[in-house]
Amino acid sequence: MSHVALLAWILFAPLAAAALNGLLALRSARVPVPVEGHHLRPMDRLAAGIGVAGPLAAAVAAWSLGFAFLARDRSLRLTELDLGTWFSMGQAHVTWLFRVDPLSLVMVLVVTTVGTLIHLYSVGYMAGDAGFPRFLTWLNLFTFAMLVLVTARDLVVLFLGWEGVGVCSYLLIGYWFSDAAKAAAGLKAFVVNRIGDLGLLLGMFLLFWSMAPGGQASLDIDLLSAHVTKLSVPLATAAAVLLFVGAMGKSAQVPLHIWLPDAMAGPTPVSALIHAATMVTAGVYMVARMHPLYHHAPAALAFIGSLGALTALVAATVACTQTNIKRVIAWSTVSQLGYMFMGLGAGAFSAGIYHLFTHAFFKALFFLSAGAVIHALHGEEELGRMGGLWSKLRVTGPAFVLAAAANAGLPPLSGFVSKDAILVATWNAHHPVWFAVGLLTAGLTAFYSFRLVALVLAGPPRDAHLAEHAHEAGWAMTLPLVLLAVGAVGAGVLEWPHELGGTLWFSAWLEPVFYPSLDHGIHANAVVDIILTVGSVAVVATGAAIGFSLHARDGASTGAPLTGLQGLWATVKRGWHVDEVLERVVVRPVVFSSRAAAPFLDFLLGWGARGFVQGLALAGRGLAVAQSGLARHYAMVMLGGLVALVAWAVLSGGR
Amino acid sequence: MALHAPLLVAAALFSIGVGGFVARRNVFALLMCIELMLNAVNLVFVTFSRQWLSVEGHVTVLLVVALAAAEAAVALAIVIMLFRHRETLDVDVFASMKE
Repeated sequence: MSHVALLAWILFAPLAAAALNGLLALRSARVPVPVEGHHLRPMDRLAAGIGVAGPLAAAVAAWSLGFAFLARDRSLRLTELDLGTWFSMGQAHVTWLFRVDPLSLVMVLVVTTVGTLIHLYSVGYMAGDAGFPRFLTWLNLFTFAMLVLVTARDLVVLFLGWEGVGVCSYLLIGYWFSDAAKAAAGLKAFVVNRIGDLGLLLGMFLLFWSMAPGGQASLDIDLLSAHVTKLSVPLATAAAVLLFVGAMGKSAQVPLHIWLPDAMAGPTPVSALIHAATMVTAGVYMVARMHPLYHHAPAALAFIGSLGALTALVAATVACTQTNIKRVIAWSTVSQLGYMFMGLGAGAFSAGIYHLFTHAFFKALFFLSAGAVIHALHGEEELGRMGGLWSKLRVTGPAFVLAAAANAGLPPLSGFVSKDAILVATWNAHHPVWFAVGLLTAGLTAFYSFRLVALVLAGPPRDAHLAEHAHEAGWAMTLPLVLLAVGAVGAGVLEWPHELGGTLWFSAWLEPVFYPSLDHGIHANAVVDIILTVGSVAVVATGAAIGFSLHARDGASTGAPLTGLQGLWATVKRGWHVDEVLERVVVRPVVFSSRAAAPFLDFLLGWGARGFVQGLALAGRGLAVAQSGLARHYAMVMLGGLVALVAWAVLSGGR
Repeated sequence: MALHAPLLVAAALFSIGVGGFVARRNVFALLMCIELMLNAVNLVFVTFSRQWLSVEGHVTVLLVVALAAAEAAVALAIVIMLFRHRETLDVDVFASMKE
């Protein structure tokens, strides 16, 4: 199959699956079939088959494309699918141009591979849910939108995918919409993301406007990249920061991170796919994709790195205090996204993308094994009722430990390699503060990861009844766990450090995209690297040991480990009160001014819209008088018209 | 010119037809008025056909006569049905087009 055809398969197999499942969902909504326990109805079986086959076909096509690329010279690793013009308005020409290069391919592989496993997992997890086909429809549609986002060559098409994943995220967070709190969480995610999207849109407009004088008024990413150096630095910085505001919303950076922990209201597979592995990394991808712009605007890069460092640290502290299994992992995701941005900020684009890549595997594994724990405990998510599950969950337990260890960055797992690459990059880019923050965050990450392991698996059960009835899930759920665990352990091979006898295969793969000068020589000095690595491993190991030993004891609580910390603990647990502050500073003034403006707007609408309607009604009644129903009257009107026409013809002299 | 006389007659016939159609209320009177207007037009056709020594006007007149006959047949049938329905021939009673 030609490369273009493979790309078409990648894009349209999930779309076709979404369309077919959408029809099934409509049908199942109209003809409700009662659900009995965790069983798939015949219609659900069909939906499951379609829903898994779509992403699977895309994954097979993506891997074929990947191996085809490997066989080619690195300068030829590019495939484009041109589906014609979308619209052409003045100077703006937007084309349906989809492109796969090494960077896009990394994203496509993550989305389709991890996506397929999570689709399979959700068949087991969601079995017995009344809206099963609807769930798979949104999941398939999400996969399609995400693939559009990562393959689009035009920023407008990218934005289309960007909004598409936002809508699917909203629909899936609020999937159990009859629960008002869950529907509200979906709405919150949507609204916060719109705030970020406003920045993204303004950034796009600014880029378009500022390129216009040079005759390059286009939002084609390659064109922009080629001509971005013609921009003045302040203008480029403004555009870069505005685009990053969009990334802050989508990738949950402080202070727009508040939606992500609440997004855990959605089903666990959604948390794994959308709110850990793929959608939230879209911001990282976008910044990396626009790297020539950011390279041209060092101030914007510094801003990104600083905000990333802040986010990484803040979110890691909050993750240490949470008592809900999913919220710990959600805050951990926010923290890791901060890590990725810190890497990008240091100019180490390939290190940032590599962390995105490994994070997709180990965080998806973390979420899915947490989902399997929740499934085993019949929906219990509170850590206070877990514990002592190691002997019950023979597959989930080890998977959970592996995910936590990779998340913590213990060698030789993938998280260790990618986190280390970012830490070394910040050091080599002369950002000692970021390095220190990164190191501290790594320690905290190890602490909360192993706190979670201890609270869930170790010690005596806190709820004997729940633990008694805990059971391992079926193959549809355990198989993805095993495969993701292989990825979480093995993905580190791709960028194994030189000092430990490896090759930097991943950054070589991305080199055609980020020309090597951009990476500030990730492994500049072998001795320094080894010292930094040993130091970070020591910090991580210490954090992990403390986290585990404090919480694996008999009667360990989910609260503050030391009595002196309780006040601080409570503050951190509420996410440093960011939600409350934003509520006071932003939400309430907006609501207040809306309330104040409401009567005025009502008045305007009353006189505007209603006046218009009443005017129409009045005119209608006036004209209705002419409709007497008498044929003679109509004949008279016709006669009048005829006379007028003839008179006009005669008077105008037949001209 | 000999053209004036027939054209004046035609104009008079047409005016009587129109006036009657607008003024009269009896259905039969309306039908007769329509016939008057049609024949006024026929007269004009024939006049000009003779003036320009062309056969087309004659042909058109024959066509109109045939159509008028058909129209009369249908119209009379409708009038009978209307009368059976409403027991009257006053067109102002048939005002259901108003709705």
